[in-house]
Amino acid sequence: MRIADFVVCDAIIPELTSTNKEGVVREMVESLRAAGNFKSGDPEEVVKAILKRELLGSTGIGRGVAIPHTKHPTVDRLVGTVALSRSGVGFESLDGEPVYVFVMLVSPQDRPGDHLRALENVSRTLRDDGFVRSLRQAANRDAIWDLLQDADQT
Amino acid sequence: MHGDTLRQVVRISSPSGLHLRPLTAFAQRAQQFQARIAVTKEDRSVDGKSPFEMFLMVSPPGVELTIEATGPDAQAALDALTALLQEMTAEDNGQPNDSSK
Repeated sequence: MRIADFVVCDAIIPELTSTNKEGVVREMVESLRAAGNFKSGDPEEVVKAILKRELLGSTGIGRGVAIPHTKHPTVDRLVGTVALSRSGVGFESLDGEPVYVFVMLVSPQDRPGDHLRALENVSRTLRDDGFVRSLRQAANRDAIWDLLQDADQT
Repeated sequence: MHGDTLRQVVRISSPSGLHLRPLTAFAQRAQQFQARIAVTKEDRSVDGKSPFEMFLMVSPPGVELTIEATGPDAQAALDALTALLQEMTAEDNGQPNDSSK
């Protein structure tokens, strides 16, 4: 599975306006909705599901990265988006540091394999410190998309 | 004895595989021990106390991980971490429709 298979280019947010966890999650979910990735249903339910997952333990895994995610019936296939915060967001990360790079995954409830493959892909991509640095410096949606596509080829 | 490395192989049996929550829980538990903890999957080895590095251990069902502990409390660490993975696997098996993974 390539990252471009599930990250929705039109939903990428080069500069988040939100400055807290709930706001970031809502902004990213809204971006996925606006890009036409949800079936009928209230996007707020997706926000709630992601925040509920966060209560089990922050997906802020350290080094300025978080992977908020959930399984939800409003999607037929795994979709994701990437968002950047220039100033960093307190996300109760496991290393206590602010988060600058967010990768959100929303997957159907009946495809645990796809969810795992996407997580594997994200982890492979983000383990490269140089990649994360470049991502944080990306100025706009196209630059982020180009980086994600390049990452798929390495 | 304190310099010995103890090993335990754990096979991931949950149909949900090894996802983010058990991996971060593992790292947080590992941090409570003095022993150095390494986790290996195939040819990749990571620091078991780092949630970020443990994220690289995301695995589908059937994969085997090797946990290595080195230090004065290595045996206790190995026992606790193996039990934690097994407990979280059992939780997964009991909650096939949980939407919060």
